[in-house]
Order: sequence, then structure tokens, then C-alpha cells
Amino acid sequence: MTDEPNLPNGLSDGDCEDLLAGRRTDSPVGGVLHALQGPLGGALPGEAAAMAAFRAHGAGAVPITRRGRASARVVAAGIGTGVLLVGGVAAAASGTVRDDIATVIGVHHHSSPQRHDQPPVTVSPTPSAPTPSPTSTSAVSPTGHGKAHAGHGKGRGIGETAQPTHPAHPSHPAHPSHPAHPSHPAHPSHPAHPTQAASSTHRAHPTRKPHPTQAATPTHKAHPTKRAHPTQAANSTAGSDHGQAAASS
Amino acid sequence: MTTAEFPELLREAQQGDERAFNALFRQNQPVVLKYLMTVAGREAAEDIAADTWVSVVRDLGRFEGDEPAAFRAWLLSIARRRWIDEVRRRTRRPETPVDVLPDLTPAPDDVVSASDTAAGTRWALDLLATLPPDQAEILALRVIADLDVHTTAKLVGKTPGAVRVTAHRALRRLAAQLGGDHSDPAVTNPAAPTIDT
Repeated sequence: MTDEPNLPNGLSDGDCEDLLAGRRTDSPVGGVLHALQGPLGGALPGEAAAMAAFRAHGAGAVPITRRGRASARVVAAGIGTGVLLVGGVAAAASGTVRDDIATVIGVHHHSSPQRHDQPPVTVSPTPSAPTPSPTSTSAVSPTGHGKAHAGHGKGRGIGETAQPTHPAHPSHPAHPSHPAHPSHPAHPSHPAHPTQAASSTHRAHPTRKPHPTQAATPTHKAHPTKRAHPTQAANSTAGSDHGQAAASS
Repeated sequence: MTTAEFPELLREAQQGDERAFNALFRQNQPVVLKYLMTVAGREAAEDIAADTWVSVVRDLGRFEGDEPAAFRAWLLSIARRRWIDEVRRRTRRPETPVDVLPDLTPAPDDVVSASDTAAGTRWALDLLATLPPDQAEILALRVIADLDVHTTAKLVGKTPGAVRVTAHRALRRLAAQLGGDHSDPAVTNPAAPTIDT
């Protein structure tokens, strides 16, 4: 109350409550308060605009609440996650990726039945083998992928060019319902190829992935002790002792 | 409109009934206008009220309540936000010095008897607008919108005690401006609102 002027006609708190309750309309202050509740007179401004806004908003349309919009988003996200999950499980179970998807994500794998049936073929460096060149990667077409690797100077085995998804050997199906033999403790989603099992020290750790910048490009050769990502290995013609080790085994 | 009629009217308006919405508008627009005239001035009141009703139309479906007072409080909370937006837009509150108040409505000859006329209402609003902003707003919410202390406190972001004290200060200041003895019911023909600063 220190900021209040010295009011000659001070009202008690009881008087104020009576005025606010409308019990003292016979005083000037009470008259003012009563006048505040009186009519404004004339036409109400803004009526046409308000009604136009009401019509424009769409009569009869109760707006969707934020909760409703949030629920729709949750459902959509759930459906999307489910589709991705089912697709991932199916891909992991079959060990294959559809060709169109593989094209999109840049995975080149060879999962044809003939490829599965073929024994791993290794190519040793021979004088007749073409010398790898830095441009050999771009020169490789999807259909000539295996051929390019077959002639690789480092001697990558043809059977290993299809390693991105680690196609299962006929005797070791990759389906999760067919667990690996105890003597072949391969990851269910990455059953080891027999030739890989023989070179267990060179098997790529399933949880270790090189940084994308460590792609085995002609200018970035994979270190012998660093395992390239399967997709990088499949795309790269750069030398790696992976295939060589497998071939030697 | 009675309390019993309000829920039906509100539901119909929420379902898109123009007649029901128009009834809600006619019943509440005077309150919105008078509140905005008090806090924002007569010039800006109509524009802010128009913005308020646009927001009301948009959010009407989300309002939950079946009491006219609750709807009035919700409506005035929107009006208050629109007013604050306007103040921010102008970067300052459009305050006019009291001594140069342009069109202060002349005081009626008899304040008490004039309380039921439009002229008396406008004069009272002008008088209310001469109070400090917080006092004018709280008195408007308590008297014009007929909100209780707790609802008013929630709306303006103060404690109920602070609202009560502010309202009492406003009434004492009004009494001082009127210059008469508030307890004397025979006082009529008050002088035009003389503002002591």
C-alpha cells in the first residue's frame, strides 16, 4: 500500500468486497461498477467478421485435437517400423536382398542358385591376370563383377565376391530356424562359408564396421588387419588379403 | 441464457451450428469489447476482439466446460493473449497521458441512474481506463466479466491474494477520483472525472 496515494475516501476491505459483490450500488463507486455492466449500445462490431470466420472454418467440422494428430503420427511410425522390421527379418532369413533394393543401396551380391552350388573358386595371381588399375572399379559392371574379381591380381576368390550377405552353404542354411553347427559357431545372420571358417582369423567381426571414409577404394586400400564392410569389399577391386587368405586356405 | 442452456448451445456451436455460435457471440462480445476497451483502449479494442473471435472459432472444438463463466474466462484469456500480441507488435503499450485523454465521455448527471445507459457505460469504461493497468484489468475481470477471485488470478497470473488487494486499491482510487463520500448514497451529480496524478 505504500505506492497508493493518500485517499481521502478510503474504503475498508469489507466495503470493497461489498462493492465487488454488487451490494453497494447506491454509492458513486457502486454506480460506476454497475455502469460497467451496462449495455454498450449500438450494433455489436465484429459480428459479420466472426460469423464469416466461423463459416470459413468449416461448419460442423470439429477440429482434430493435437492428441489425435499425435496418435496418427504414432500409428504411421509404427506401420513404417513394422514394414522395415519384417523386410529386414526376411532379408536376414533368406540372405538375399532384392535386386531393385540392392541397386538402391548399392549392394552387389550374387545369390543365384548357381552361385550357391558352385564350390569356391580361387584364382591365383598369374602373369595373364589383368593388372588392377585405379579405374577398374568404375569399369566393372554389375554383370561383370565376378569376372573382374576373378582376374584380380591379388587373387580374390570368386566365391567370396558374394560375401556381403554371407550366403549359406547348402549344408549350413542361413535360416534362423537352422542354427549353425556347434563346430561352426557362426552368427545366425552371417553363417560362415566353409572357406571362411577355415580362415577364422580373417573373419570380419559382425559388429565392427569401418568408417565410411575407410572404403577400400583404389586410393584407400584396406589394411590387412582391418576388415572392410561387406558392401565395400564387394564393390572394391582394391587389393585385400581376405580373398587371398581364403584362397590359400 | 441460463446455465442450463449453455452446454447445449456450446455443443451445437462446436458441431457447426451458426445460430448457436451467433448466440454465443452476442452474449459474450460485449464483455470482450469492454475488457479490451479497458486494457487496450477504445481504438484497438475492436481489432483485437476480431482477432480473438478468429482464435475462438479455430479452437472452439477444444474447449471443454459447461459453465458460462468458464467459457467467459477462456474467451477472455484468448482476448488477453491477442492483446499482449498487439502490445508486443507495437513494442509498447499504447498509453495515453491522462491529462490529454482525447474523448473522455462526459460524466452523466447522475452516476447511479446513468448506469443502465450506454453513455453511462462508456463513461464508466473511460473512468476505469484511467486506473493503473493492472488495477483496471483486474477490476474489469471481476466486475465486467464477473469472474471470481481464483479465476481472475489464474487468468492474470497472480495469486488470489494479490488480485484481491489490487481490486481494493482500484476501488479506493476510483472513490478518490469521484471525490464523493462513497458511503453517502445521496451523492449525485459528481463532477467530471478529475484525475489526480
